[in-house]
Amino acid sequence: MTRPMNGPFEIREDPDNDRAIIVFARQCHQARTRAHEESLSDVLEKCGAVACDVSSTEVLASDWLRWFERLTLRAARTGKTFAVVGMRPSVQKTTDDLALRDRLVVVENLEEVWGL
Amino acid sequence: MTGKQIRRAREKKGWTQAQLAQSVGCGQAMISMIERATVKPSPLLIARITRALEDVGPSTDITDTVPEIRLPRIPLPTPPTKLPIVTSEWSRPQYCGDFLIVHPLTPESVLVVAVDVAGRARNVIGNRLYIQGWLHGWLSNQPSLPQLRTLIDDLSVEMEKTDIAAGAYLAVVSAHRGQPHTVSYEAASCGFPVPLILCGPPFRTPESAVLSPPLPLSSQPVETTRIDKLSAPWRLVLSSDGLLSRLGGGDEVAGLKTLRRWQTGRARSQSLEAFLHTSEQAIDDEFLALLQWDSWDETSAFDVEDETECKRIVTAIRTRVERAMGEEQADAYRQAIVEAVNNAHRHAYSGRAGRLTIRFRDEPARFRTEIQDEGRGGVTEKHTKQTRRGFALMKSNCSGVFVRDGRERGTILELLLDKSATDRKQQQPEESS
Repeated sequence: MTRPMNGPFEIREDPDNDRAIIVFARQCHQARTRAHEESLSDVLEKCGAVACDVSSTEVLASDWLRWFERLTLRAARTGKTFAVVGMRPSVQKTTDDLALRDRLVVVENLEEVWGL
Repeated sequence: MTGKQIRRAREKKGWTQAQLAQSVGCGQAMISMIERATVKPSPLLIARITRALEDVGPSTDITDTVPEIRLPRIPLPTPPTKLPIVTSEWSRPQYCGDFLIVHPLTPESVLVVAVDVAGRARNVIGNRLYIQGWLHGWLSNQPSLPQLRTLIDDLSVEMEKTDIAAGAYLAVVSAHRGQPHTVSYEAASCGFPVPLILCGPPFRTPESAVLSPPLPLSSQPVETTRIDKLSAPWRLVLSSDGLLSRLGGGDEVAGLKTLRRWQTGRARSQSLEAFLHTSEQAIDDEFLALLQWDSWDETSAFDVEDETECKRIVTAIRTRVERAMGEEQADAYRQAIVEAVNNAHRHAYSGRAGRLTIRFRDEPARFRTEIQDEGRGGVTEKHTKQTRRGFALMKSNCSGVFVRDGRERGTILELLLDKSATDRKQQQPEESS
């Protein structure tokens, strides 16, 4: 099932397999709103595994990376998976600058997420 | 004097058409047309030409009313091959008929505004040349100002493309806070010194001079007003002599004083109609040509939710930085800009729509980007020192991050990237090893 959203990301849910992919845009400068937060939290609540695909994202505001950290913690607490997939070097650098690399589950591709 | 008489007198004096034009404050082409009797000059211009050719006393050129501006002896920067002039707006003014435009000033930019006053004029090219000549004449006391003259020529060409047939005022406006200079200097140097409005004295086109008697030029000094002396909401007000006359009950100077009272006094927050106790709004078909000359290489004002435009300008800036400093630096600088945009979206507008302006300039020693919002201000030094936040990221990706309040509201975030930054970063590992 595809549920496109206006804004920085779109959510592709796969309820049959209990998983979802959140695909982020190439440039995410937007502020994270309550609607965004609810939308992402909702996906994590419904699915056992959520992959946050940033493979086409060249630049991501730190606001979003900090929210990834919260989702990662929430997933860990509930025995679910929340992983960030395909970070480009520019996004990796931002993650490192914010000292978030160790706080996120970062993997190379989607298959790795489903295998976690 | 007829055209033939003018030619004979000029040749007798040994002057070229250009010399005569310079003397009377009009364009050479205008003199040529007068001599060939293809235009009918105003009585005022005829009087000037006559005086100039007869060499009777000082010229009555309009420049006589302009106090001499002594330019600081600062070497002018190398002029750009082409001035960054864009026609930013063609619009119907708010108040027409007798012309009045109230235009919100764009910060950090120079505006050249030419307005129609005669309305009945038909000879567009003639009037263009008249305006051009008037402006050149106005500058005749100045040292060489090639760039300003180019600006005027470009303005004239732009005007020729329009239906505007005459001109009333020229205002060169800068909203930059900086070193005190004259308007002439700032326009010539492409710098942006003190906020200043310079309103030239009203002038008449050949046609408008026919409509009413010429102004007593000697009683029309150039009015200069520092914009930063005006409290918000401050506005640039341009008006025609006709409107001034009406406002002043036949006295244009009194009309000007009325406008100034409205512009700078307690009543400034009122609309002009309220101030004048009238509900009348004149409607006409006159248009405003607003040419904007700014020193930014990239400028974009957009709604912060307009993702396409935001991406476009951020990508454009990144491309320019990458060309000079490589991919890594360009990515880092882009990250800083995106943080600043995100910051504005979150804090100034609470994630909702709002206007954002991004400006970028490639300077000799650094890149400079400004991100300006119009939301609630209140960003302090304390915010910029927070770690693990957007500001920390901006600082780590730039050479300098500065915050200042917008002129009326909002915040301006300035991101600097020194062009030597790459060398410094490359040297650091060697130094530490």
